[in-house]
Amino acid sequence: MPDGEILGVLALTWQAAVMLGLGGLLIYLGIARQVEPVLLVPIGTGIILANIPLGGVTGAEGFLGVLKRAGIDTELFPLLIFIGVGAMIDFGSLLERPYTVFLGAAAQFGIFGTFFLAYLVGEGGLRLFDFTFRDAVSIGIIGSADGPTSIYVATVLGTRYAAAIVVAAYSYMALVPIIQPPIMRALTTHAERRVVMPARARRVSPRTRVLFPVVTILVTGLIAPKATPLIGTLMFGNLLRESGVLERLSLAAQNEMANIVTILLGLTVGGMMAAEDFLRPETIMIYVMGVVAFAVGTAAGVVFGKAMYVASGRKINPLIGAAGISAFPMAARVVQKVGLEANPHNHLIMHAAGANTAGQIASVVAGGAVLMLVPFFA
Amino acid sequence: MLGAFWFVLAGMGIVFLTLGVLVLAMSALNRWLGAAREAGRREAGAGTAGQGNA
Repeated sequence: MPDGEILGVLALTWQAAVMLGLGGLLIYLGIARQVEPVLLVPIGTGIILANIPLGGVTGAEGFLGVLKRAGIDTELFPLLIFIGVGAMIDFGSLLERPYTVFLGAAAQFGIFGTFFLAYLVGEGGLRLFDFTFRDAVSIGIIGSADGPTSIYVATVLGTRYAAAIVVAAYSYMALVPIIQPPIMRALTTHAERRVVMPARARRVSPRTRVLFPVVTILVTGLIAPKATPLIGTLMFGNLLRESGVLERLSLAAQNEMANIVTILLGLTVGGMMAAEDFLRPETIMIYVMGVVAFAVGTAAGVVFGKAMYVASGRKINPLIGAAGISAFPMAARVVQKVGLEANPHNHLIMHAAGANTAGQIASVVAGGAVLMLVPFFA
Repeated sequence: MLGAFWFVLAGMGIVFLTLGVLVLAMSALNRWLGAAREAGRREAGAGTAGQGNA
């Protein structure tokens, strides 16, 4: 038996060494810089485990291989995560300010605009990269700024680039405070950013809050049925929260379940990043497209916000449109910060939270919409 | 690329349609539940007033 099959170090390729370095970098960013540590530490560890030569953890019998088959290939992990996410989200600010729902819808142009670009540089036009229609749609879904939706859609569409797409989606989520502000400032005037919005909103009855998840499942499921698994789990989690009688289950979904699945998901996603699949020009392009997706989504939200600013007689601050991308709650905080820079007395957080939670629902609907449409176009 | 253009249009259309229907449904529901609550409150108020008079 050759030495290389006994000692891992003798079988180490430069590609695997690069991936080990990348895994180490993600762990460093998570712990030392506290950049999305909940995700980056498990993903970084998964990358290291997957790229240790002869380690065998990602093979059919390896534990990361088993986790991938059990949780990613079956689409189970993102759905379980969504129960926890639904239990964590308070949709009150959206129900109090229903108009913000359209800002969430507009920001989903990040998905479709990025799809268009990915398809253009892929087999749809320039053929610079090996992106099929399905790959382009999966890359576009990074613009949902929503990890579980990205994993779900990429897995269902069977793209080869699922790991890169998921890592890009989660990485850029952490970079929302850096990506969004320059776009928001570039697309708005100082006067627009200064617009003060009233803190008071219409009252929402507790019954409406309880009925909201059920109505959302029905409406979304009946129009975009492919979104049913995602919206169903998200809204089931929210029903646990709002029912008022299931606090124990709601807390379990928010904490124990979400935490356990996050650990398993992070490790498994990291485990999908084997050197031979990851170090390709297409992967680098996916990272570039990820920035484009977040930027286009932000721009679309702000431009729609400007349209609402004009239509409302200058009562709506267009900045809140940037929160329409679903990166929750980071995007809403960014809006609050940029708004305060322009006017120290302007608190936009509740309005932005409305757009942000709308973006969460809109990204799931967009995920369902693309799954529904792909068979007709691909 | 024309197919991709229609894909974008159809996708955004579905997103706006779904959320539009959702917001309409929730607004109607909130108004209906609010009206029902208000009617219940008025009824309870009338009952209390009657007892007070007696």
